[in-house]
Amino acid sequence: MHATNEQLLEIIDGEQCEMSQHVSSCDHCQITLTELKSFESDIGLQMFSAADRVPSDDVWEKIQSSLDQEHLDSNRLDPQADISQQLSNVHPLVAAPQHSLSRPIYALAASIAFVGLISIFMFSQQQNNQLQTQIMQASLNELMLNSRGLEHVLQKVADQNLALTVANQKAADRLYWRLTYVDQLINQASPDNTERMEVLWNDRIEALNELNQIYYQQESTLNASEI
Amino acid sequence: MHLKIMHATNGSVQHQRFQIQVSNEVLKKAIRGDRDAHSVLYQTYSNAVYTLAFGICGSQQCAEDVLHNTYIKLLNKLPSFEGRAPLGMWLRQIAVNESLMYLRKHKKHKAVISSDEYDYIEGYQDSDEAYPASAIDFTKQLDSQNDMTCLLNKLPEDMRLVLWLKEVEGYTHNEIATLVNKTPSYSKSVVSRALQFLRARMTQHDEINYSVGEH
Repeated sequence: MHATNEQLLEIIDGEQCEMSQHVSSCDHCQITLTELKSFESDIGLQMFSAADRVPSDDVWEKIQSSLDQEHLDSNRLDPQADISQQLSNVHPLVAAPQHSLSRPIYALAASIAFVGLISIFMFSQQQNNQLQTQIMQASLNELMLNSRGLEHVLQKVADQNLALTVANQKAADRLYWRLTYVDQLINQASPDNTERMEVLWNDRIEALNELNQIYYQQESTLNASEI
Repeated sequence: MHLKIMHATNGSVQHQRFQIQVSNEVLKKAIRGDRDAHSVLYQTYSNAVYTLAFGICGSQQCAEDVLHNTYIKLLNKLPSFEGRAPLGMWLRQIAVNESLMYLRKHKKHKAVISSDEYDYIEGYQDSDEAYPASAIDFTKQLDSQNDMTCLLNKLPEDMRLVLWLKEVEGYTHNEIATLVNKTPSYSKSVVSRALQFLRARMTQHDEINYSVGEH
């Protein structure tokens, strides 16, 4: 099977195709290849000769008038550009178009407004934080006050030297240890950390309450046995 | 002999026309919008652009429109010309694109052969340089010109376009494929079929002429 026209053209173009080997060894294909090569280059010449013409003289005039028309149209569409161009021809200082100044002014105004808004936001945020801190501090003061009150009551009860049962004594000892531990933590904690302080003071109040409960239970049991 | 010399150089005649360079001074002036420089550019490349458009579209009207639009586009785009490729090759690309656009816009357009033949005869009569030495030479040249013009006009527009770009402008199949938005195989196949068609017709024509000559 011989090479097709397309395959022969590929070979003429210097491309490798699957029939390249066959063509190199086949006399029929070699002849066809030579004829095709010759025909291809002849056809290029003939096509060029058939189309090689000179344009008519008025084409350049038409191009020029089209360009003039385009220029006029573009000026009509953008009158401001035309005016600024005319101004620039008159005087370079006058030529500076107004919109070139207004743009930086707008940009400046926008940045001032932006900075102002940011400042207001930051200020209000700061105010909120201060208010929050004050509320927390008040709550902490209240807890400390309660704690002192309970401690005072406990002191009074403890002064009575009530003999506690073994179980109550153990529970009281545990609560005293807990109280001591919480006190240590309160001393170590930063006073600015109001949330932590609130938790610790709540713990302290809880321990004091439980201690007071133990002593009151003991007192009421004693009173009942005396009656 | 004359044919052989032309044959050897033909592949690059059209290419060489686009390779002509204008001076930097003219180019700078043209970029600035100087009308005289624009005129120099027109004189340098207009024949090449016109021939390219005529070869692709096959009509004088189309060639003039393409030439007009190509130069309008060139002069408008000139300020953005970076000089990475020669100006002529840049212009050729614009001209090819304009021809493609013309073909797409005028899908049903068909060349008027008789009018072109008439122009050709007139061109020969006006030009002293190209005027043939004898009436026989004139008839032979005219016959050959008209035969090829007729044959090319018989080709479908797409086939004619691809064949022109390949055989006259020296485009590669890959470049043609990119231009017409098809594959290189399409371009190869079109060129192959177009050459087969032309070869068959021309052989037939030669045989007829030969038999007429015998009688």
